[in-house]
Formats: sequence, structure tokens, C-alpha cells
Amino acid sequence: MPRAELTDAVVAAAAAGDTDALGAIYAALAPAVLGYLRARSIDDAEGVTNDVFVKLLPQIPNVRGGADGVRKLTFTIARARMIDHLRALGRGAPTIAYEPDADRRSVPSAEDDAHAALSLARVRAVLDLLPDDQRDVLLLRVVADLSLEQVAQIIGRSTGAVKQLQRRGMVALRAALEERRVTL
Amino acid sequence: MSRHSDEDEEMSTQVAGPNAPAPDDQDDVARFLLELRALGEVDPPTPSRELAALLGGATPLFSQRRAMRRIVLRSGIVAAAIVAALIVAAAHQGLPQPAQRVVSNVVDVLTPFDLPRGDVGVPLTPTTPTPSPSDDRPAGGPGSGESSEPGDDGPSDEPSRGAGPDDGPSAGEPSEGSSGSWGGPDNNGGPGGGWGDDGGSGSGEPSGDGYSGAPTGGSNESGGDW
Repeated sequence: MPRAELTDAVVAAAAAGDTDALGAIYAALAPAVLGYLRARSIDDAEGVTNDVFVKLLPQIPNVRGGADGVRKLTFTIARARMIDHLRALGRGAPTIAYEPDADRRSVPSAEDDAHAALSLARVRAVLDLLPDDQRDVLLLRVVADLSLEQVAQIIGRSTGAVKQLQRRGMVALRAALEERRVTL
Repeated sequence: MSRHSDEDEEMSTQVAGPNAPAPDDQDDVARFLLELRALGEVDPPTPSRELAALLGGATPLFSQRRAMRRIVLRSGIVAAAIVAALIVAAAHQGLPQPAQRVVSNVVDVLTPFDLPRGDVGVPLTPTTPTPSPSDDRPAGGPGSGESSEPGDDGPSDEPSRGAGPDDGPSAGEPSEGSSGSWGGPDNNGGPGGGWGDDGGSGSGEPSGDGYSGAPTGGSNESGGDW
């Protein structure tokens, strides 16, 4: 399903109480929020997504920055809910750095999975090899489609630090994938 | 893929979205990133009852009560800021006299604090003049309350009042031009007594205490002697 575009006009209409515009915001952002939460191994990703929008929608009239502002606020709330959820479960995602030499997992053949679609389980398995902050930056950049600056504001780091985390995350990702150490 | 001008070339070339190269041409990282991106390209979850009420307009985004609470809160913050600014200005006597009096009265009544009233000539923060080294009088000299006595030594209080050397301010009289906050001279008899004293001695030189009384209207005339 292609992503629906979120425009400033839609946000302005939603702020004025237009229910169609509210629905458009939900349609545009809910899939990304759901994907973000699923990638972070949230069990009840659908329920938490609903919570995010219940929290978000009443704040729409106060949001500045149009569509970008709403997108940033959405993932600020989603990230906070994700952290709360993981804390409540008492099982945060692993934060250790990836060490290829210590990783005994392997796949039989590179050809076997060359054209196979990566399942959610595999995505999680790869992401779990990354430190928490690198994983968060990659998810917010790729799944949430946020800019470096927006990610920096959401996670409370500088733009340079986010860029560095992204670069390191890509290096770690490449190392994990090229060495074929992730099982399907 | 990205709506943003991506500074990270690797990210932007590998996660190119619709313009991404065919899967055969991609490396593992690009494929993984595309798969990752696809996680956010699913159908939105079914809204819960609470969310559906918001989306359908059954629950207004802003309730009247919440809006009213916000207005009251903002008004309170603004009022508190104005009151604080008034009190600070009054503490520094930065208000016009009538306003100064009103604010100080209100503060006096409502709080244990005293604010200057801004009355002309009434010293509000009495200062204790320090004897100058050149002042060879014993303690309790011109700056002290006892210093009004030297008027007896100098030109007598009554005849010389206003006619002393340099027309210095006499003891106990409000000095012209002095602000209320400048509490130096009069009540303590500092300059008044001091001038009387000096006048009595005929030296005409202001002592340190005399200088502290300089800002008064009367002492301005003595400036020429300095």
C-alpha cells in the first residue's frame, strides 16, 4: 500500500475540525506508526498505535509546522509510548553492540535468500543486532520518513550526532548482512 | 524515497523508494532498508472506539471546559506577570508616585513586606554614613543622630537655618531634589549638621559626610567650593 501524502492544507483543515482531514492524517501516519512499533517488537502494536492517535488528535490545533510538525509530534508520541510499553513489560530491546566474531548464527546459502522477501521476524533479528540508539535512528529515518533534524529533535540529540548514529547503524547493518550471519 | 534532502548519500541512494534500482541490482543493505520501509506501508489498524469517536467528530478535539480552563490559566499567568512586574518596579521606585503609593499600600496590607512609598523627602532606606578619615570628630559625628547637636556649636540652629554657609540643608528638613530613596542626609542630621559644623568652623570644606549629602538641593551650591 503506497504511503498517503500528508499536506499542510490537510493539517490546517484538521485543526479546524474537519473530520475528513483527521481521517486523512490517520491514514497517512498510522501505517508508519504501526510499522515503527512492530519493528520495535511491540506486542500490541495496533493498540499502541490507537493510543498514539488518541493522544495526537486533540493536539492537532496547537501543532506548528504543518504536516512536518504533525509527523514529528506523531513519532515523538509513538516513541514515548514505545518506551513506556517496553518499560512496563520489563524487557527493553537489547542495547549491546554487535560483535560478528561472537555471533554463531548463519544461513545455509546466500542464494537461498537473495530474492526472498524479508519477514518481520528477520527485520527484527537484524535490528536487534544494532545498538538501541542506532536502531531508533534508522527506524525513524526509514519507516517514519523523518529528516535528520526531526529525528534529532525527537530523540533529543544534535543533528550531527544523529548523522553519526545513522552512519554507524548503516555500517553495522552492512556488516551483519554481508557476513550472512542472520538466519531467516 | 525520502521527502528530505538527505545528506547521507548512502541512505538516500539505498533507500530510494519508488526510484530504487531493481532488486537484482541492490545489495543486501538496500534490500533490507526497502523491506524496513515496507513495514510502514501497510493498512492502518482499525481505530478503537475512543479513536473512532475522535476521528468521527463525536468527541470534539477541544471541549468547552478545556478551552475555558486554558483561557483562565493563560489569564492568570499574564496577571501574575503584571503584578510581579509592578512589585519589582515599585521596589525600585520606578513607578509614578500615585501608582507607587497604591502598590506600596497594597503590598503593605497584603504582605509583611514594606515597599517605598515614593514620598518626596522621606527617606525610605536610611543609610549609615561612614565617618571619613578626615573627620576627626569622635564617633557619633555628623552622620549619626547626635550630629544634629553640632548645630549648636556652629551657627545656631534657628538663625542659621537656611543661612548657613552654602545654604546647606538644615537638620530634619527634607532636602529639595532628593529622591525618597536617597536616605542620607536629613533625618540623621548628617549633612545638615555637618554643614552647620563646617560652617561653624569656617573651613568651608565638606567632609566626607558633607559629600554624602551633596546630592541635596542645598548642597548643590556648595559645589563651587569643592
